[in-house]
Amino acid sequence: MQNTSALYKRLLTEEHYVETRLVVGESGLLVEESGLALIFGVGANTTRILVEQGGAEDGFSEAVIISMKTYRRLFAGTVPSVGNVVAGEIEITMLKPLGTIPRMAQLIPYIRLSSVDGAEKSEWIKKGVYYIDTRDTTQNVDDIEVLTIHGFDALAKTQADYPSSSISYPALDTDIVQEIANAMGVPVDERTWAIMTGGYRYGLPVGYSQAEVLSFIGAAYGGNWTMTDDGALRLVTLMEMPTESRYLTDEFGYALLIGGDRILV
Amino acid sequence: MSDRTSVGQSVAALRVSPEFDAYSKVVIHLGEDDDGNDVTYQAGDDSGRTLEITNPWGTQEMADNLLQQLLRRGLLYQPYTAERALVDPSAELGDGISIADLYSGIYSQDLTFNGLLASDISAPADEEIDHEFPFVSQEQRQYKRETARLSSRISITATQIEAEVARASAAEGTLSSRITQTASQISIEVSRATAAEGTLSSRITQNANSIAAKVSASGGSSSSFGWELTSSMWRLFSGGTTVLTADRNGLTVNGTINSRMGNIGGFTIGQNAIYNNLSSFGGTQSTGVYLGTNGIQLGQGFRVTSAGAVTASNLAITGGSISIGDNFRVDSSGNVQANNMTLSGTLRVGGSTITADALRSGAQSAYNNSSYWSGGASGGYGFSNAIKETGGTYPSFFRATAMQADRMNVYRLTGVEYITFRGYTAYVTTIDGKRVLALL
Repeated sequence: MQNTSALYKRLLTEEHYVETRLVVGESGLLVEESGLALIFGVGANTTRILVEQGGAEDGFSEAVIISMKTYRRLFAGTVPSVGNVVAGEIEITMLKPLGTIPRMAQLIPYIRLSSVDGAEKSEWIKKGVYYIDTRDTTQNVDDIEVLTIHGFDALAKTQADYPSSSISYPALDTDIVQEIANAMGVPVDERTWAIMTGGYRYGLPVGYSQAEVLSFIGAAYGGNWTMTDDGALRLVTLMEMPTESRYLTDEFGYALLIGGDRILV
Repeated sequence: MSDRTSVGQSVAALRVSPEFDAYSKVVIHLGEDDDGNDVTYQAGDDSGRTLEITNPWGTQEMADNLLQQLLRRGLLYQPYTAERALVDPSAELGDGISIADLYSGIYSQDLTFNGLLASDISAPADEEIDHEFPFVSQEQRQYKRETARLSSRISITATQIEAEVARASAAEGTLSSRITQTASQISIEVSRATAAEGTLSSRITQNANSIAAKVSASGGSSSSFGWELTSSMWRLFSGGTTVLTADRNGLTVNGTINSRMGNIGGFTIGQNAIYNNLSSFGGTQSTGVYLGTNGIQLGQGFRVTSAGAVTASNLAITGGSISIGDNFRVDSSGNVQANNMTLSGTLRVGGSTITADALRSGAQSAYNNSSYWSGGASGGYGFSNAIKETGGTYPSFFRATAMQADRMNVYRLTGVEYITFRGYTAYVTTIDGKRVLALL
C-alpha cells in the first residue's frame, strides 16, 4: 500500500469522488485547472504551450479521457502459483490530442480524492507506469477523432534476453535482479531486498530471458513479480500478506477514524 | 511489506470458494536428466498442499528454507472474486483485504478510472483438476527444458576474465571448456574425461611473443603433441622433445622422415631410388647420380650393381687394401700377395723389366754386350747393372757361389783365381812374367 497523507485517509472515510489524470509521454501541454489545454491565438493562428511534464497537473483529465482501465495480476493463470512475471496492462480511450505522441510513450494514470464539494483534495497518487504498445485512431459519430491506446508496464520488457553482464558468476540473486532492473530501466522496490535474504547464487543464465530468470528467483522465495504504482520492480510473496484484522466501521463499511487512525477490533 | 485494507460492504458482487489447505511440502524441479527423469529437491510431507517451483539452480537449502517460510507464516489461501469493489486506491497487489466477513489478498485487480474508481479484485482459484485438457503453464514448459548437469561460470576480476562451461553425462563423460584472458595472455582449453579413454585435453595459449597449441592424453596411454610459434621459429614437439624446428636457417628434424616421393635440392625421391638427372640405373646421361635398389651410378664413369659388380672408368684407391678371397691381396704400400699370377704383358720392377723373353735392367731393350743378359729361351737373360750384390760396390759385378751352364760365352772374365774343369782345377798363375791360367 502506498503511503498517503492524513487528508487522504480522512477523505477516504468520507464521501468523496476520485479525480483522474493521464500523463502521456515526458512532455505535455500547459493546461488549465480542468485539464484542458490552454489555447493562445484565434482562428487558424492558435497554439498550445508545450511544457515539460511536471506531474499529474499536466495530464489529461476526464474531460478528454473517455475510458481508462488497468489490469494487474500476480498469477499468470487462474491457479495460485509462484515464479510469475505478469506485466500489467492499460487501455485508454480518449479524444485524440493534438501533436505527436512518441512511440512507446510513457503513460501514467493519477488519481486523487476530492471532497464532494471539491473544497478539499488529496495529493495525486500514481497508479502505475505503462508504455504504449498499440494505438488506433477512429472517428466517432461527431467526426471527432478518438484515440485508443493499449500499453504494458515495464515487466513486458523482461521478455528480452538476459543482458550482457559485468558481474562475476555464480552471482547472488540480488545482484542478478539489479542487473535485470537496470536493463529494464526501473528501480527495485526496497521491500524486495527485505525478502531476498537467502543468498542464493546463480550461474550465468545463458539462453534465458530476463523474465525466466526473475521467475526462478521469485519462485525460490515463494513469490511473484509485479511493478509498483510508482514504477518499481517488486517481489510479492504468498507469505507476506498480513494476518486478518478487523476495523471498526460504519454501516457502509468505511473504517471509523479517531485522530486519523482506524480502530482495530 | 504488504498492508491490509477493507472495503466493508462496498462491493457489487462477491463469490467465495472454499479455502485452500495449507502448504506442507515444497518441490523444486531442476529439470530432466539424460534419461528423462525429474531432478528435484524436496522438503516437507504430503499432509497438505505441495508448492512446486522450477529453478535450474535450486538447492536442498532453498527447498528447506521455503518450506519453513510457508509453515511459519501459516499461509492460507482464500479464493474469492469481488466485482466493483471500492478499494482504497493506495492498495497494491499482495495487500490483504477484508470484504464483508471475508479476508483474503488482492492477487488480481482490474481498475476502472472513473469517479468511483471501482475495482474487480480476486484471489483466483480455478483448480487445474477442473480442466479436461490441462494447460501446460510457462513454468511447466520451463521444466521440460534440458538442464541436467549443465553448468556455466564466468568470473570477471580486475585482472582476469574466465569463462567455463561443463557438462556431464553417462554417454559423454565429463566435458568442459574454459577461456581465460589476462592482460598478457589468452588461453583456451577443452577437455573430456571418460572411463574408457581417460582424459583428453587440448589447449591453445597466446601471448605477445608466442602462440602454442598442445593436445594431451592421460590415463592409460599418456602422450602429448603440440606446436609453438614464436617470432623466430616454429616447432613441433612430442612429450617434452622437439621433433621438428623451422627457422630462418631451414628445417631441422629430430627423428625419422618417411616419404614415398619428393624433391629435395634437385634430387628426386622416388619409391625405389633417389636420383639427379640420371633417372634410371644404366641410363645414358653423361652426368648425374642414381642411387636405387638396383644399383648406384655416377654418370658414365662409375657403376655398381646390386650384386656388387663395379664398373669404373678410373679407380684410385688411396688407402686400405684390395683382397680377393685369400688368394690375392694388395695393400696401400703396394705389397702384392698372390698365390698364382700369370702375366701376359711386361712386368717392371724398379728399373728392370721382365717380359716374356727377357729380364732387362734399365732401359736396355736388347743385348748390347754391355754386361746385361738378353735373349729368350735360346739366349739366356741379360742384366745391365741388373744383378749386383745387395749393397755391393760392383755395379757391373756378377757374383755367384757356383754357376753351371752347358755352355757359356764369356767375353771377358776377370778376377778369376781358378777355374775347375771336370775335376781339374785351373789356376791363374804367372809364368815367365805372364799371368796364365794353368791346369795343374
